[in-house]
Amino acid sequence: MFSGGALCRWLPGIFLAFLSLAACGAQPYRVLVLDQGDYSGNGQVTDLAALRAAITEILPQSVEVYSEGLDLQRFPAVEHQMRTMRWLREKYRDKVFDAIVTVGPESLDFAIRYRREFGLATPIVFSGTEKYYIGRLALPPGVTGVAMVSSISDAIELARKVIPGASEVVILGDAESQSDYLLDISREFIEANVNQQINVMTGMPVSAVREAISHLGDDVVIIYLGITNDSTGQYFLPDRLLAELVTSANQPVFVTRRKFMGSGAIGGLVADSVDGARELAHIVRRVVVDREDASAIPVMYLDTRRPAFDMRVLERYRVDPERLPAASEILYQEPGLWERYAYQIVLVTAVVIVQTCLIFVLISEYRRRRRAEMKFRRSMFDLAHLNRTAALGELSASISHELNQPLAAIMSNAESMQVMLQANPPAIEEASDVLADVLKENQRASDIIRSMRALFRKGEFAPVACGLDQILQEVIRVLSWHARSKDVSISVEAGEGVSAVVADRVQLQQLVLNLLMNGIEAAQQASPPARGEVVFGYRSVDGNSVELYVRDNGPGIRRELLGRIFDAHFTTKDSGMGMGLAICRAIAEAHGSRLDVQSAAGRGARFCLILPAALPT
Amino acid sequence: MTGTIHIVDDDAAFLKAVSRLLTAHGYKIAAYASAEEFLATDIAAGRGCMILDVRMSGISGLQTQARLVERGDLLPIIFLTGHGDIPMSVRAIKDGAVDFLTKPVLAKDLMASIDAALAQYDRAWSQHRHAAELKARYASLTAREKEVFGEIVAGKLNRVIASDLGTVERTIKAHRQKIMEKMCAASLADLVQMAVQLGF
Repeated sequence: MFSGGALCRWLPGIFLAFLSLAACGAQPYRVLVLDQGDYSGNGQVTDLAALRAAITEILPQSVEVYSEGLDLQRFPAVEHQMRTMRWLREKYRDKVFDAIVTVGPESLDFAIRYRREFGLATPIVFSGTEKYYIGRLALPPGVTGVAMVSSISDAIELARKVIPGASEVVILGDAESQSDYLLDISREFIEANVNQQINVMTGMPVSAVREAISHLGDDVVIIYLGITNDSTGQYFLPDRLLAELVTSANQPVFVTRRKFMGSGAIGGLVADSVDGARELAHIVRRVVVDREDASAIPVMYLDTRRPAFDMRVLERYRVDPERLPAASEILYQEPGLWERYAYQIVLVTAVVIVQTCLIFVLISEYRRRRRAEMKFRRSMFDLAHLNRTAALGELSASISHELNQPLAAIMSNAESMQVMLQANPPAIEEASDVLADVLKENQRASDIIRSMRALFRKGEFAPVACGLDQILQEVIRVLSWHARSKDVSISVEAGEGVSAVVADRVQLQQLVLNLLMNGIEAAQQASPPARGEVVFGYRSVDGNSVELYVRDNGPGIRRELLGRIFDAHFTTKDSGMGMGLAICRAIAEAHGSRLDVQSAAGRGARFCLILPAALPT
Repeated sequence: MTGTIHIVDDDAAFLKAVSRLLTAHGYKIAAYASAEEFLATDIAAGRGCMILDVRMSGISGLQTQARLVERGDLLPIIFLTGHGDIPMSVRAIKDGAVDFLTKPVLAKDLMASIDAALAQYDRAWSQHRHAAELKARYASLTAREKEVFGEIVAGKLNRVIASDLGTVERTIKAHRQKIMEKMCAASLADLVQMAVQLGF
C-alpha cells in the first residue's frame, strides 16, 4: 500500500524540513494534515495545496507539514479507520505533532475518535466543514477551526430568483456524510416554505438519477451538492459526474461549490476550496507558535459564498441577466463577436456594403443598358422598316419591270389563243399549251408579288431556319432589273454543304437586299472595260457557322472612310439617308453577329457576317 | 410578203409568247435568247426586221443596234421594252429604229410596226440596189472616162476639159458620148444627180 512512488513524493518536503531546521537551529513545528480524501486531492472540500502553502507562509519558523489522505469516503467502514490508525501510529511513532489539521468532516470525526493515539493534548484544527455540521457537534476541548457557512435555503432561494416560477427543487447529493445534514436543513426549509416542493434524490443509483432528471417539468430546478458515491457503492469524481448529469438534465443545475462551475452547471452561491486556507493557517499559528489553548479560540465561521454563473448556460436557458443578484460573478462569458472581431466585422461589413452598392449599381446599369438596347433595337427595326419602304420606292421600277414581263407574256399568249380559237378548225390543242404558259406566267407574277411582300413586311424578330437559296431568289426577283438597268451582273457563289442559316427571315432579306443594292451601286462605277459585278456568296466556316458575303468590283472604300461607313447618316451617295449599312450592322448585332468589311481602294469591297448554320431538315 | 422577223429577248417566256403570236399571224420567226446569239448567227441577207429588247443581260439592245449600223445591215429595228424612258427612245429612233414599243404590246400595234419596218426594208433595199447599180456603171468606165466624168459634173465645157487633159475637143466629145451611154444618163442633169449619189 505504501508505494515507493509515494515515498518519493514526500522526500523533498522532508529534505526541506531538515534544511530549515539547520538554518534556524530550533525544533521545527510539526503539523499533521489529515485529509478525508485520497492523495489525489479529489473529494476534498478544501484545497490541500492551498492549505499547505498558507501554513508554510503564515507560520514564521520552519514547519514540517505531514499529509495523509485517509480516503474515508471510499472506505467508510470502521475496519478501514482502525487499520488506517494503526498504520499512522506505526508511521509516526517517534513524531510529536504540534497540531492536527483536519480537512473535511469525516477526517474531523476520525481525528476526534482516535485523538488519544496522537496524544490527547494535541490540538485539532479543522477545516473543510460546514457551519451546520459543527453546530450539531459537541466539540471536545482543544478543538477549533474554520467552518464554512452554507445554506441550502439560500441556494434554493437563489435558484427561484434566477428561474422564476420554479416551484420544485430536485436536490442531488450523497446518500451519506455531509449531505445528510444539508438535507436535514432542507427539510426544515420545506416546512418553512410549504409552497416549495422539494425532491431529494439521494441514495439513488446514478443511472436512476440521470433518468429522472432527463424529463423534468419546466418549473423544476436542480441543485447539485456533489455525489461521490451512490447507493450501488460506485465511487464518482463529483465534478466529472456533474458534467455527465448536466448532459442528461433538461433543467438548469445549480451548484454550491466553485469547483463544480464550468461543468455545465448554471451557477449558484459557490464557495471556493481555497477559501479559508489563510484563516486556518492563522489559527494553526496561534495554536502551534503562540501556544494558545485551542478551546479558547472560537470557531471561525466563514461565508465566502458568492453568486457565480456560467454565461453559456444562462444563455442556453435564456435567463435574463437582470434577474441575477447584484455583484454576481459571470464566468465563461464569451467575448461577443463584436468585441473579438470588431475590426474584421467592420471591414467585412464595409466590403459587403460596398460590394452590394456596386452590384446594385451594376445591375441597374445593366438594366438601363438593356432597356436602351431594346429601345435602340426597336427603333432600329422601325427604321429598318422605313429603310425597306424606301428601298421599295427605289426598286419600284425594277419590281414593275419584273411584273410587267410575265404580264406581257400573258397578254401575247392570250392574243395568240384568240387567233388559234378563231381559226377554222380551232387549234384547241395548241391553245391549251398556250393556256398552260399563261398559268405559268401568272404564277411567276404572283411569286414576284409574294417576294415583295415578304421583303417589305413588318414583323417581330423571330429567328428561324432560312434557306439561303430561297432568300436570294426572293431578293433577286425584286432586284434583277435594277441591276440590269445599271448594267451590273449578280452572281452567286454557293458553298458546299451549306443551305440554311438561323436568322429572322425579313431582316436577313433586308440585309442581303441592302448589301446587294450598295454593291450594285458600287459596281456600277467599275472601271471599264470591266463590267460591274456583284457576287453574293456563302460558305461553311466550321460546320456550325456560315459566312455570308457580298462582294463587288466597284471602286472600293477609301481607308479613312472604312471606320465610318456603318455610322448612321454617313453616306457617300448624293441621295439616301445613310442608314443602309447602319441598319445592316444593327441586324447583324441583333443576330449576335458582326458585319465586317474588307476593302481596298480600286479593288472593290467585301462585306461579310457569320451566322449559325441551320441543321439540314 | 415574205420576210423573217428576228426576235431577241432574254425573257424566255415573253420570247416564246410573242413568237407564238406572230407565228399565229403568219409571220416567219427567228427567235434569239440574247443579242450575242443573234450576232453570232450569220444571217442570210433577206427581207425582214428585228424586234429587240432594250435591257438584256450581256449586250443590250442599243448596243446591238449600233453594231448593225456599223456593219451596214439593212434590218430595220423595232424596240420592245418593258420599261423604256424618253432619252432611251430618242436615241433609238435617232439611230434609225422604226419604232419604240413598250410591253405589254397588242398584236395589232406590233404588226403595224412590223409592216412599217418591212416597208422600210423594201425602201432601203431598193435604194441600196440603185446605189449598187450606179457604182457598177461607174466602175465600168475607163480611167480616162472617169477623169472626163469628173470634169463634166464639175460643169466644165468640152474645150476647157480638152485643154486641161491636153487633148482635142473632139476626143472629149466622144468620151462624153460613151459616158452617157455607160451611165444610162438621159441628160447632163441626170448625170450630175448620179454623181451626187456616188458621192462626188
